Amino acid sequence: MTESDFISFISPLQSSLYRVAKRLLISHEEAQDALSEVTLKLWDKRQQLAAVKNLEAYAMTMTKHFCLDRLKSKQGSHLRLVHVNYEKATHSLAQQIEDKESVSLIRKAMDALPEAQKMAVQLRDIEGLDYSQIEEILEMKPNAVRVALSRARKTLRDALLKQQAYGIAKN
Amino acid sequence: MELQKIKELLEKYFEARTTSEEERLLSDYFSGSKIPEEFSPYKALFAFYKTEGAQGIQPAQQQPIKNKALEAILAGEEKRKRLPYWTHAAAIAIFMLATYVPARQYYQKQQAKIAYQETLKAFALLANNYNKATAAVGYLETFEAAKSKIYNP
Repeated sequence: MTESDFISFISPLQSSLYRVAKRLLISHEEAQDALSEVTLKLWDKRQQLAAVKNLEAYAMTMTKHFCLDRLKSKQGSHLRLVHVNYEKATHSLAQQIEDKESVSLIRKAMDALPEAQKMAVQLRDIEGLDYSQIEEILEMKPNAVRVALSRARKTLRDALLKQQAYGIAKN
Repeated sequence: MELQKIKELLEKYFEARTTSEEERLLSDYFSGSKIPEEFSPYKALFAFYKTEGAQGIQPAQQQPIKNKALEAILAGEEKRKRLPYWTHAAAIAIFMLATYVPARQYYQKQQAKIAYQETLKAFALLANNYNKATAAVGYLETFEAAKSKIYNP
């Protein structure tokens, strides 16, 4: 793969790779770093990329692995802190008002999902990928993907139904 | 679209058995107006997917994504497209040679002209002196004639 091939392959993927990274790492800065690291790794491997069948899924899988490693590593504890800060910040008055908005409610419900379910919703409902690609990225069997996706969607729905029932968001 | 169909699709959707086409139908339906109150959670859910999917695409909504690695690669690519440094040196060398060679030729021509003029001057001097000498030889002839008149009466 030549340099210009690489650039035309990676440029349109920027935002979706970023969104997947942000879904897993939550912080904007961490997601940007992840995107940068993944781009660099792919760049170093660009000679081998010609042999890859589905480049988009390959880049996605690499991003997923990178983010999960980040979360598991020592720096992951620092990321947890970011997560706590993020939740604490919601106690401000402005945030509490915003909490009533469904968007932040769903976002929180999504952050609380297990990784596989979170990724399933991200890839299917947000990025709009095919099941075959999602199976490849998540390295899961077709059935397992559907089970994870179904559970995740139901969890999000239940969070919304609960909000509707009580009229307020339950933290 | 009739409500019954939407309800069926939603059921399939939560079992993760909908196709991409059916999911697009749902998304389109819930982004429309006049959604019954009972569907408002689903409307919110599909709206959420849309806003989340737009992240990083609309810079006004979100902080723009910075990818340092890609920036570096693009900068490298730009540099690669530019001519390498030796071509700069070669250009300077060609320029210098191109100005030096005619300058040298001009200088040589000037030198030759000067030499030619000097030669002409020298010839003129020689001719001048030669004429003087011929004139002097003329006197010698008179002298010779006078001498023969004296010795051979």
